[in-house]
Amino acid sequence: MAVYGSVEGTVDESAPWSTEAGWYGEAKREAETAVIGSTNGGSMSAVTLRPGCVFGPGSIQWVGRLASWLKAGRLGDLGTEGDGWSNLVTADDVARAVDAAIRVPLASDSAYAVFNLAAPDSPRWNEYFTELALAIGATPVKRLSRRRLALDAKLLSPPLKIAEKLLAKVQIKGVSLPEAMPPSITRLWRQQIKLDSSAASARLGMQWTRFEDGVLSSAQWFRRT
Amino acid sequence: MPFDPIDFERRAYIDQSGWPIEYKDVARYYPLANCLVEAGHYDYDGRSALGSNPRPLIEGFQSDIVSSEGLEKFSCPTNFAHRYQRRLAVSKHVTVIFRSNVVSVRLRSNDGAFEAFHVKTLDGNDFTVQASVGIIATGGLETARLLLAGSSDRAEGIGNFHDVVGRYYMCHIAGNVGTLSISKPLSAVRHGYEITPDGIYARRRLSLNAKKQRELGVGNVVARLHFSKITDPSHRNGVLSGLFVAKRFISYEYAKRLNDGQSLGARTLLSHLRNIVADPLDTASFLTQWVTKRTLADRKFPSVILKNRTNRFSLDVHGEQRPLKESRVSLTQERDALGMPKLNVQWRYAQEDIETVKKTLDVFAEAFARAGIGSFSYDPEHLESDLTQFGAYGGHHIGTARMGEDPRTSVVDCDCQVHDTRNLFLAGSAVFPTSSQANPTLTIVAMALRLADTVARRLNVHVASPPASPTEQADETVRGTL
Repeated sequence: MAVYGSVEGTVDESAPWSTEAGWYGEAKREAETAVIGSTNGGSMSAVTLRPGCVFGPGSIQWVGRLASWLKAGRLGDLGTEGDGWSNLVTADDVARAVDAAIRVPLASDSAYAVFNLAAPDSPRWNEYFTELALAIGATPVKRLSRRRLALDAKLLSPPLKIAEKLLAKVQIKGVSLPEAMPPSITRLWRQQIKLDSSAASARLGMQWTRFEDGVLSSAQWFRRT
Repeated sequence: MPFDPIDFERRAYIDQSGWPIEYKDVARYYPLANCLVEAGHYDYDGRSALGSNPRPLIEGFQSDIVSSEGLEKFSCPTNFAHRYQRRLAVSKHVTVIFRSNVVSVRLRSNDGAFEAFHVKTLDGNDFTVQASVGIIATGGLETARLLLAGSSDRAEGIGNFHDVVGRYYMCHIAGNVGTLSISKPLSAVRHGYEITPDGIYARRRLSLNAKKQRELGVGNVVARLHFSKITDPSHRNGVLSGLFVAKRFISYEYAKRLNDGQSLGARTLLSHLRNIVADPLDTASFLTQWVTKRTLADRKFPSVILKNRTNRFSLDVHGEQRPLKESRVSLTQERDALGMPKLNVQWRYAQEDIETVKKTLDVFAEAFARAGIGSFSYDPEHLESDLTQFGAYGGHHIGTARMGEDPRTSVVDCDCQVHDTRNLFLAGSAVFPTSSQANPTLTIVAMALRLADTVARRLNVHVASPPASPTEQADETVRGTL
């Protein structure tokens, strides 16, 4: 969903993109444009899937990293800073969407389709953090202030990132550093963007994994690793 | 905390009790309301909300009629404007206008239905907001003021054909009473705040079950274990004595509880000073905790709770007040800066409210004795003054535009629509016909969610039903026009 940039509100696939999207979002936009171009005026068909945050067993980014921060007390209930929509979708659901996109024929007058992918019951980030914390036993869930979060993201993260790169360069093994919390992720947590995936539900026949089940399997994976 | 099912019942022993809706009509909104007030998961039972193997309030206390498992839970406290400002700003369906005051309600000349709000600001702006539906949500006092003063078309006020607006004004009957002496080790009592696994401060309360309330003919009352009377230095607590000695520097609402009307004699002062000097570590620890867990914290430690060295507590009582017609708010001749008449508040309570507390405390005392955990005693002669010496309990303003089926004893119907004024609705504790023992905020929010559904159905717009689970699933798609 990085293509949407800093857009807020409920967005379906026709929502206009914001003027800026960062390097990552720009790369996604270029990729989508290239895919549309590849349909060659209808000689080929293509489907683009725009997943939200892909979580579930194996997701370092949206399970492993967050769970580690929860355990370390660096993440919890963030109040206004965690009030954005999480737009979570499990990896299994993304795989099902890929399968459906290949098999389900497009409309006869179209060579291209795009679908948002986010489970309709996907909650706000604060709730995801709380439920994940409960599931992995990182309790009681802390309430973190905006000040505390800013300190972590803006003051602590840059030196952590530098240290991480230095350690990798000199190849020192057996030393693990806390993971840096980039400011981009704290911006995402407060972004009020909610992906409307009703098109995927209707046209790809998506049966979404329930949020509670996604959290449970994620926690089980985290506890095992 | 939520209301109890008995609060909605018509109780023969409480005149004007009974809501025209059932507990379940409100209860389905409690989980989402709980989320919005940032009080975590909707679970108010100490056996399940406090994690695995929770310890009881008092080890060994068991009773079939007195529960010690009920919880009260604490919001941050939540500044709703700050907390939800971003959501409102992003929404395509909501415009928020700040620093503007509704000063009157305009009704349609042909059928008397709601037409518009007349709005003024302190710096001289004056405008009208027209809408299909108007909802007044200005609190238990200001709602009554607006209805009484707010229409040139209705001299008696809006919704006030039968002189009900402003009447049946309720707060809660509250105060610290008696001494509970627990004959168990200090470690056997958990009187302070606990933290639920999802990070919410919570505290246990004592209450009578519904069956016993009906049997005794009493209202709904809860009590918390509280520190002993601050003014009595026999508590041996340096912090309490420090608060008492420094009461001149403490805000009014808290400081008034440090005055029990008795003058501070030299001997008493000396005892308090001795407590302070003998307790430096505890005092320092308290101050550190206060700064870190309250002043600087987002989720604030709710109130002063201290180590108890003597296992002696007072009971902090919070009880339902029965609806009394003569307890009322009314308009004065004096005007405010916007030209609206000011309010006169005449809070009254019934002797039965005091009797309710007395009978409840007597049952508590018997239950403690029967369980062999200690004894509770209080002075019945002083009970009424203990409960009323600080006046009406601050902040809970209830019942001034009550809900009911009969317009002769109510202002709004079961949909919270003003009886004689189509498309004008009221939100807030003004519409509560009874006050319960519970602080009203959670029920205010739940009733507001219910009202939103009601209005949406009337206007034929699509909304999601309240979620079956505490997971918030707000559906922001609105199809239709407002």
